Amino acid sequence: MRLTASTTRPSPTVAPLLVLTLMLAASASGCFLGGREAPDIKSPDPALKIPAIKTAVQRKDMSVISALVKDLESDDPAVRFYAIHGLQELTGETFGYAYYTDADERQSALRQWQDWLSRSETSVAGGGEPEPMRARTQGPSSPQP
Amino acid sequence: MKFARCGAVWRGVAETSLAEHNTMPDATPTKVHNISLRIQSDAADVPAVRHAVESFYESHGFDKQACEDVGLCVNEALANVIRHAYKEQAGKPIQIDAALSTDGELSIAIRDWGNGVNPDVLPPTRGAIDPLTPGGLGMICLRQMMDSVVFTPQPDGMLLQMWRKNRSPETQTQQARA
Amino acid sequence: MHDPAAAADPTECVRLKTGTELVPTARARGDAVLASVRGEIDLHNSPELRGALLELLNQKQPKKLILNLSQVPYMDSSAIAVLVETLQKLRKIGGKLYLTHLQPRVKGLLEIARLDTIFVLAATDDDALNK
Repeated sequence: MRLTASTTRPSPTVAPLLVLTLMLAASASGCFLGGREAPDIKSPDPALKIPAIKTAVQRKDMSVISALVKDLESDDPAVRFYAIHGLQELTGETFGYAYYTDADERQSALRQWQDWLSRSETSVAGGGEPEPMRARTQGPSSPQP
Repeated sequence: MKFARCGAVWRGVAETSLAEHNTMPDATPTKVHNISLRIQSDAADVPAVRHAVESFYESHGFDKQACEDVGLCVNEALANVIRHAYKEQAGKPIQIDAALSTDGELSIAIRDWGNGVNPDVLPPTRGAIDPLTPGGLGMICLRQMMDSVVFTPQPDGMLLQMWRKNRSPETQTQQARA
Repeated sequence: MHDPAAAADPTECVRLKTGTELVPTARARGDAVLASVRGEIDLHNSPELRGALLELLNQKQPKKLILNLSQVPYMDSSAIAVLVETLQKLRKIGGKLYLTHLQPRVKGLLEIARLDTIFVLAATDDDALNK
């Protein structure tokens, strides 16, 4: 293993086209370069989906709940992790969903989320009140060990 | 390595060391400290890299918690390279660069010359004994502990870059547990 | 050699073999197994830990597996995954996994991964035995 240490100062030269590209990219959400797309909660790429989930949760964006419930079925445990904790932050619920268990063990909690989502969407579509969401401060249920 | 500063965050397509980067016109150049290491793909050497990176940031004033977080992230990133990029083959090169800007933002770049696989988009192993699947929990740690994580495919491998701003102890706890 | 598990259980019933210095001691007491883990656990040696823990489950099928982590200053995700897998296997036989004497860095990692609530954490082995 080689180890070197140095203190360097950057070159001051930047191609104008690169500057323009970077400025355009900087104005977009997520500031991604090199041909990468912006964060997108519906993207199948976890590298794009996860930052989008984090941003939506920070903004308390309830419109992403349906997408997050879908992500509970993901094969990627990192996606499941951010999905359930996003749902917990937004709704106060977990229905005992544990991101780290295998698919069979997640089924029961997953069905509860899907039922809850159906009831919420039906209530809104029928002109009624949306399914009441437990406030975060009341303490959500934790996954069962 | 070509970098540019977008706000407080560096972005770019990198092929070499973090030590070489460009600034926006008229911006004041930022003094950077960095270390570079190169190892073979042997899990037994990962602790040495972790300790070196932790010591480097500790010597530049980062608090213990931040150094430990960054050390873990480097560990997880190297584990993913060994497992996925090199499929547990020994003797393959891994380059690690750790840098620190004068505004207190640290940056890590890890370059491999493997199969170009991004652990973020790996297909899961069906029926894996490990319920968290290889890379899954490691990626969670990276995303929880670092402000930004970017995988950039290279013609002959992969570049992982991670950034983390200097945080007060209170915001560290809040952000890591958010 | 100091054995943290012995301090909690001076009248151990059965000493168990582990085959690895990562788990230097293990003993059965009733339907519980108490074991010590020692050293930094990461990608290099987590498979060895996994083998040792699975072997303990095979030997005793305990209702409680109590792991004393006082001598574990560092774990990475591969080590945590071993603990999760051990927990899953214990649950299938109606058992629980207890972690005692967690060092702050290890506890912090469990919290980051939101896995601190899936294990039973206890300050000491005695606390775990009495839970």
